[in-house]
Amino acid sequence: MKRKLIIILLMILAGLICYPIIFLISGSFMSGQELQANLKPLLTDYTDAYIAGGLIPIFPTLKNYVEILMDSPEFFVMFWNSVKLTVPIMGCQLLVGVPAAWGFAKYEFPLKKTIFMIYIILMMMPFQVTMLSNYLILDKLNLINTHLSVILPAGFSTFSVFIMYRFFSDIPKEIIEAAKIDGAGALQVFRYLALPIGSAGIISAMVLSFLECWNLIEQPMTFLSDQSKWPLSLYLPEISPGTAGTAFAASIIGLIPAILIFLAGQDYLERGIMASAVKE
Amino acid sequence: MKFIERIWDYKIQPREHISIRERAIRWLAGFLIVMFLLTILSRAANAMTIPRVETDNAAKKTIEHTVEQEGKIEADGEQAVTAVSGLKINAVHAANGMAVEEGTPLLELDVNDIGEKLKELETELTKYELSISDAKYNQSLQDSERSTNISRAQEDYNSAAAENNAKIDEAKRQMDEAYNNWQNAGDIIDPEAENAQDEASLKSVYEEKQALYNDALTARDQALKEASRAIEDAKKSSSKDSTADSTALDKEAVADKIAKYKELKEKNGIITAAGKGTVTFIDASVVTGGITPETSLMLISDTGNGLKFKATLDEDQQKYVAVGDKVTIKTADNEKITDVTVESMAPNAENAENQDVVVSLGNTDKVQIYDTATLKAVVSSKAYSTCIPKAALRKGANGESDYVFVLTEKKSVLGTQLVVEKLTVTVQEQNDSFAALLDGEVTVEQKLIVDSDKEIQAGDRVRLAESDG
Repeated sequence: MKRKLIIILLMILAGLICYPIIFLISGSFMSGQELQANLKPLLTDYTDAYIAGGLIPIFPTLKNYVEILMDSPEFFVMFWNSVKLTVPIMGCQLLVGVPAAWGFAKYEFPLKKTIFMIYIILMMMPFQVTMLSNYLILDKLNLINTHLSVILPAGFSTFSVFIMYRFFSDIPKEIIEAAKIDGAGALQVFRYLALPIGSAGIISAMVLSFLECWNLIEQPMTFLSDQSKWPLSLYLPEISPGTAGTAFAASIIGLIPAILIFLAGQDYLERGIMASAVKE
Repeated sequence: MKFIERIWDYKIQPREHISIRERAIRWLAGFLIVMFLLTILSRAANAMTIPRVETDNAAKKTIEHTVEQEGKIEADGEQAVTAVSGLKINAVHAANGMAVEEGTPLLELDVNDIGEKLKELETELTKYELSISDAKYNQSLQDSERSTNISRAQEDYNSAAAENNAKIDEAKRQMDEAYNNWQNAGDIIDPEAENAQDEASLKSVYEEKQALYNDALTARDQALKEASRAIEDAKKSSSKDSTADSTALDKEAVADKIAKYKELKEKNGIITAAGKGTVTFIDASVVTGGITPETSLMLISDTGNGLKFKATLDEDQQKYVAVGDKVTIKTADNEKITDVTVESMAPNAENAENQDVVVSLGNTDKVQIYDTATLKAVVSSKAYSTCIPKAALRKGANGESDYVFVLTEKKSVLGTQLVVEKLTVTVQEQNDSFAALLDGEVTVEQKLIVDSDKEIQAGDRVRLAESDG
């Protein structure tokens, strides 16, 4: 009985948490008129009322999707901007982050601990703290208002290094030594041992990194003044009774790649999150 | 049959096991491909729906007002050809548009008919003369009767006056005598004398005579009054008789007609043109075998004094043409008569808002009467610093101000976009091609939209047509 009560309570809580997503999906299929009626308190100065939202559209329509997919070229500009930012960032993290994590995990060098500490400190710092210094440097490099201004700081992100470091650390020393005895050089060890064995870590780092990059808001907003360079996460059309439907549909479409990436890397991701939770 | 059996027996094959990870990756690839295709599709749709515009810039210019109006070449004046009405027409020589010289025969009337009509008129004239002499005789009779009556009445008056005056004199004499007798009676010493009359009877005699005298006076006044009335009556003329005068007028008219008939007869019934010109109008009744009408037979334009161009200008055109202006007349053959002067402008008979303009052309052989020609007058304004093509100017609806659409660059998600901006303007002066605006309302750098393949509004995204680069 007690167990059932707990389950019911948890289901209610889960329902509350899921409600925004469900309303988003349902709203994207609602007609403008219906949305207008539901969102009236939000869109007018009517403060006494609450948003009423039927979860099932009365007259389901694909009009919002047709409008966003066929009649809004700006949506696609932003979608591909998101792709243009995310793919190089992930590429950069692979290129720089994986060797860095391998280095921290398996090599001994002076000030290793200090540098790793700086890495962790930098990882902990919210963007707002480093925003100004980032801006000044990017400005000096004439990178402001270019995609590189977002790609470069994110490409050298410490978070993915930290996750991959955990995975590489778990590779037993004996395997590496055996490889070395067999005559493998440092690069061969990295190529034929570290990458295959640590692939779970690399993929989980990449999935987390993708989710972070796909949803970047502050960085593009700060460093990109040109709207034509903005990513999809900034697709915030002025929500009015007429555009609420398309905004809902745009959010759903923006959600799809994130869900697919998550599904693709789900198994590794769980391990990655666990790895990041282990204390140094 | 076999085919149906195959369908009936069809079993869904178990799908090859694909992990969620692989499936998600495939879906992601598919999703990206779909997004790529939709990107192209939405761009194409956008390119098709976005209006394409052509632009132009403002410039410093003078506004030239060119008035061009088609009109007709006419003669300087017209003459009406008339003849006595009611005569038979033997032949018509004139035709519409025929150029004539002085003395050109226009039509021929029947001489016999003229002779008959002349005879009738002469008889009529004689009748009038007779009736005039009758009327005059009657009048003289009436006049003499009247003067006789007056003189008789005067005589009656005189005799009445003389007769009554005599009676008055006698009555007065008797009255005076009676008075004296009465007055003398008081002086007699012996009142008992035999023949002596008493005073009272003498007084009554006197009073009686006095009354008779007064009666005589009254009778005279009455008689004279009646006599003078008789004179007045006699002096009153009998009813005025103007028969003679009116008949004289009729006679005069007949005499005039006779003169005309005689003149026609002398010319053997041929009517000729009085001067150089062109026949412009022939009355419908003027045909061989017809009868001359009461109105004019035909009109002949007088080209001897040169030609004139006539046209009607509307309200807008009137502003730029004035009497005395030098204008150009372009003929249908593209020949130009330059520096001709506007002679007059007057309200049009049918529409008072329009003005009929007359340009004197003088004697010219570039045009003929009734040719169609075009008046061209060019008036230049002062130089305006902001002149825009007329195509860029848009009329505000419902009395709102005029406005122009200019292109502005707006940064948006799609990059730098061209957006339509509405600017209210004040037109200083305009012609068919350009409009002068107040200084500063539009700059020379601003691109003014002069044409668009779709209807546009302020805020619309547009793109330049290919020709604009």
